[in-house]
Amino acid sequence: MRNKTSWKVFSLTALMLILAASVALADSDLWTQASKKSGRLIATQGVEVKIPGRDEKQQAVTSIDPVTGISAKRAGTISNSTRTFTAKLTADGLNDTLTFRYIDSAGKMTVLPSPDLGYDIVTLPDGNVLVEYAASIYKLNPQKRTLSLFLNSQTGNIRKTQRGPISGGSAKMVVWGQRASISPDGTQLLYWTTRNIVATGNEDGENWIKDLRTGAERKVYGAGYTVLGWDQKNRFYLDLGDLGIVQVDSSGKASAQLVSEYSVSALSANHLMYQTADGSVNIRNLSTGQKKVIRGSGLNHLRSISSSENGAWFALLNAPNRSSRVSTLIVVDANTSEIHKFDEPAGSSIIGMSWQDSETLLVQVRNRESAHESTYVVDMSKEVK
Amino acid sequence: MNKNLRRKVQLTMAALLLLSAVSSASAADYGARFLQQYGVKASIAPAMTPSRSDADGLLERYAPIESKTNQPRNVVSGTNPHNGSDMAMASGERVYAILPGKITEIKSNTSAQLGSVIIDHDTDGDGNPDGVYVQYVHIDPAGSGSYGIAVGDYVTETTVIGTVDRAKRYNPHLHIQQVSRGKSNSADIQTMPMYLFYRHTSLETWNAGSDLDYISADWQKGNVLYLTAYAATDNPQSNRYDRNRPVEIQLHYKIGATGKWKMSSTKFRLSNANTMRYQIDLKQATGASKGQKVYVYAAAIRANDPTFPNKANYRHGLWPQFYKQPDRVLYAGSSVRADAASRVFTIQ
Repeated sequence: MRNKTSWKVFSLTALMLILAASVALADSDLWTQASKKSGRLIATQGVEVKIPGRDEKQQAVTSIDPVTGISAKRAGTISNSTRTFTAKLTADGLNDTLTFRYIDSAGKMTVLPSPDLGYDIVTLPDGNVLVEYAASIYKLNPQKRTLSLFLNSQTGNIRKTQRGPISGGSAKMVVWGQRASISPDGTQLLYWTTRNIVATGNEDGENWIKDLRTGAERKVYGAGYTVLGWDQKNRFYLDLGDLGIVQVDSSGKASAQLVSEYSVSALSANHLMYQTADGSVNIRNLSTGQKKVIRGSGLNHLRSISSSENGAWFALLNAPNRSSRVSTLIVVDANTSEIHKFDEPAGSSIIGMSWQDSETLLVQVRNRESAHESTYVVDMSKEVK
Repeated sequence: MNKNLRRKVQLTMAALLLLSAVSSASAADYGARFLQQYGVKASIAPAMTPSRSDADGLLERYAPIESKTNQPRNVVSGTNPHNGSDMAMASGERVYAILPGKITEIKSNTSAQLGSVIIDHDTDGDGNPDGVYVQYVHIDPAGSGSYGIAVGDYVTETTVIGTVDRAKRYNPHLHIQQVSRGKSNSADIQTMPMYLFYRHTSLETWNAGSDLDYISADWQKGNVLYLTAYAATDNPQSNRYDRNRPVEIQLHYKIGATGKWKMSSTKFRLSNANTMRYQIDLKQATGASKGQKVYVYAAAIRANDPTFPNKANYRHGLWPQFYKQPDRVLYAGSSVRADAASRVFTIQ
């Protein structure tokens, strides 16, 4: 009996050592084979963009002139061969000149997201860009360098110039349009607005859709929930927080609750991944409705999830121990449900992840000693076979 | 210079810079909530914004600031002056941690729209919390049942800690404040300015963090005292965020510990209209001589404010910050409150 028990313990220990060795080998392969670039990188329309990280922000701070309050250095987004142009916005009583950063590659003009310049952007399929500024959405023609109205100035009985009441007797600023999102087929624009405050006094806001073919705009869902994304059938998904996740038809006539409680989640064109309990993660095929539960490889509590462009991969920032700073990177093949675990690079903490394209994962890390930040560019087709 | 030596030199320089540029008036007792932090050049840490525009939580979004820390207000419910900074975020919008750190408190009081999370943030990037607490209020903390965030959890900047709660008592927004303790019911908990997390921000966004505080970024050069003061707020007519400046900033002072408090006839001068930077020569404004100690506090008075459409009696915020509903003449009845609030300078 004792011998059998000893043999079992020995076998189990040996198995664990083999597994540990193979994981360590995979880790070293991942971080040594991936190219490592300084700073925090994301991708927009396939273009690598450096967003301001700790170093750039500190440089901006130390460049402040205490007399004027002006900093000599800006912590902004940059890319290779970044250029700028300006466009004047003379609509809705505005008379502002906005600066845009762009790159020109093989005749294609890509306007870069630049939140430090005071606006957010969404690129339309026709190459034009939507600019979220001064609580509304305007259209930028990058070639002509012009800004113009985009949303209708009146919907139903509500005009853009109307204001709602607020305690204290003064009107409240109305968000006419913000947080835009384009459907995969390029025909629908989802945005958030508080225009109903004029009629109802309610400030929760509503999700509206603009049909880009007809120009018609209509309400499709209440409040300002985070849009997880769209699927191939032109349905969009909202994260309602503790109320779960809903799937909404872009007509606004049908919605389905797919998750009924709080989850850490991400959406691709084909799959919804969400975690509602430590130790496992769910992946739902959006075409068939089939759901799989994935476990193993130390999967415990998720800090965040990122989905690849074509939906083939999900990258999970996993906390093996919730109270520890240590994370592991878990990559899941959405089609086969295979999972691959990688420890963090030695001495560094993973900040976050994003996908440059369907196979290239950008992993932002911070060195715990120097606080220097860098990004690993991981080619999944080479790393996970 | 080898790498280790260079790093030690850099760390020493950073520590010296921090010590010279930021200090806390922890000994001061303002009677309640505010704990003043001084400084202009350094930041506590370059934090991310709590609102993001991409699904991965990496692209920052600069929500307009509806109400600043230390801003005078005339509100039905809530603190006056404002005990934090209000960001115009949407009902249901995700709220992210602004820095990595460990959760020290979660309140799920969503029936009163007072759900909140406090995080002990890691400000130096070494992976360990540094005793710098930030409270996120009016949110529905992520997961109120068996799953979601929990006290003791370590979070990163890409972790969602909750969503902005729906309108009940207040309009939906995120109230964010730096606090001195990890538990909101601590008897001695105080609020500190927020601008030192966002000193890196641009003029187009939060202007070196000053949008988050009513008065910020004090700095002394010789006898000249500099302040940044904003009365910025949503302008419902232009439907945008405005930077309308205060009408005036008064200097209240006394010369020497036993001197008599009075208001200077000299006002702060606007030295840069873009950044709303003001300055005053303390020697000239007080008439004090070289070597004398002057005790000062400033009162910045707003030109107008949506929360004060018909009232002129309370539009001022004080520097150093003072709580609660202070008269701009703190020494009207007794000099005790003015003494407690003031900062001391030696005339050069």
